[in-house]
Amino acid sequence: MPMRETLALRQRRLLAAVKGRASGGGYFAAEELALLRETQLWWRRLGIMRACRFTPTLLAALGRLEDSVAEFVRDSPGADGIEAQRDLFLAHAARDPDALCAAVAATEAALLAVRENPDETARAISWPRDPEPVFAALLRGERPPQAFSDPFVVTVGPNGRLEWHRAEMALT
Amino acid sequence: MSARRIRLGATIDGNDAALIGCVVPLVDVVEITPDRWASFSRRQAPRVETPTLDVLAAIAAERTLILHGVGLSIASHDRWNDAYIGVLDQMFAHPLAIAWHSEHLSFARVDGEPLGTMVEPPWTQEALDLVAARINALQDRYGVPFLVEHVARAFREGEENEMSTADFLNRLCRKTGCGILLDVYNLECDQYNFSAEPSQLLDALDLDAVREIHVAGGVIHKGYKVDIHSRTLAPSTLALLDQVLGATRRVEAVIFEVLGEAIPSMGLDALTLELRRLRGVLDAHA
Repeated sequence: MPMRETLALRQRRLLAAVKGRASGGGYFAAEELALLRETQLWWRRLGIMRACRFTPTLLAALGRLEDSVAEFVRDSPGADGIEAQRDLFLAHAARDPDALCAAVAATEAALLAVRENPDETARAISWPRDPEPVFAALLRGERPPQAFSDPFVVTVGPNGRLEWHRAEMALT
Repeated sequence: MSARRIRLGATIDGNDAALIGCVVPLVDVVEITPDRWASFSRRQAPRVETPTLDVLAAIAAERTLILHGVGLSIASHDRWNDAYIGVLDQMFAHPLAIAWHSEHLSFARVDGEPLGTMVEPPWTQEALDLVAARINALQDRYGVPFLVEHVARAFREGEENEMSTADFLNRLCRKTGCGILLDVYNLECDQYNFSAEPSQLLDALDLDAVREIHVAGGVIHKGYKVDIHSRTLAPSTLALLDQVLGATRRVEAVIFEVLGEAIPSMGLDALTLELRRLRGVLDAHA
């Protein structure tokens, strides 16, 4: 076997094992992989928390940040650079089965897109509840209070302006 | 015989005016991580913006400026990270007077996919030849000294290796003329996580190749000592630094590594005290 294939094979097996896509076996014994997994998840969480605010705050308040980042690492190819990684993470979180998490992530992604590119067009995002108390809680680093609410629509304008209204009003 | 002078340095992890204002007056050397100063837009290749280069030029006008990369992935089986090379090209093309640069002896990408952390390659002849060729290419490309840093181990030294870590590093230095960046905190991580005594590496390493030393403080996370630079120095780290300085002769600088994210909790006052404490340690070895 050519020597280059040996290094390539090892690195490919390690990638699959660290990202939780396949068992490593042998050289990549589970006990030793634990350190590597914890280290890379720690760095990923740090990068995400540095690059965006609302979504990781909400996930952390719900006790789901570690699991969500682990799922993201498993399912995503990743990217160079904190901004590109942030965008991938927010896209991942915008598909979250929890409608509030998905709405917060989609809104944060839209806000960041507008901030970085003034040519972005307006985006309308469906919310399961009134966003105002949610944003207020997240700005304080707290879990949003439980509340009964009608669905809302949040619009992120090209100027970064946020507007929202009850979804029913949008349908009339 | 002239007195030995070991320069004191610190990382400045990103364009933070308060951090720059605190650190620069206290140190001789400023180390920056190019990846943390570059912009990674979705629409263009990573680059260092002109105002950022101006800030770096102002720092370099006052202190020795050195680069320490995390993104090159010098030991990837396929290729190094071309985007990171683009950032280095830009920095070296600017008149910044970069004294030397360094990178981790690791791979952080596999087939172009980021791994999310840095992992040491197996210590084999294949990896040695691959990394040596890339170091030679770097030295030809930029024309300033290059150092490699051993990362905190991800694995025990096992049968997949054809040589020890020290043997690999010694051969790499002989083949390329590069130097070693010895990370004292990484040695402590290896000791904690894998019972690898620092003396195993230090006794076998060509210590004349050690030109820079890193020190840092980290955390125990889920039972592991993790290579994360978020705290001030533990007494054990200072003791090991003292031991290493006593055994080396050609160290140019000792750098205190601290993450930008750790500065708010650590505080600039604590950082100042730490740098003064380190200065005292270095002066004792003058």
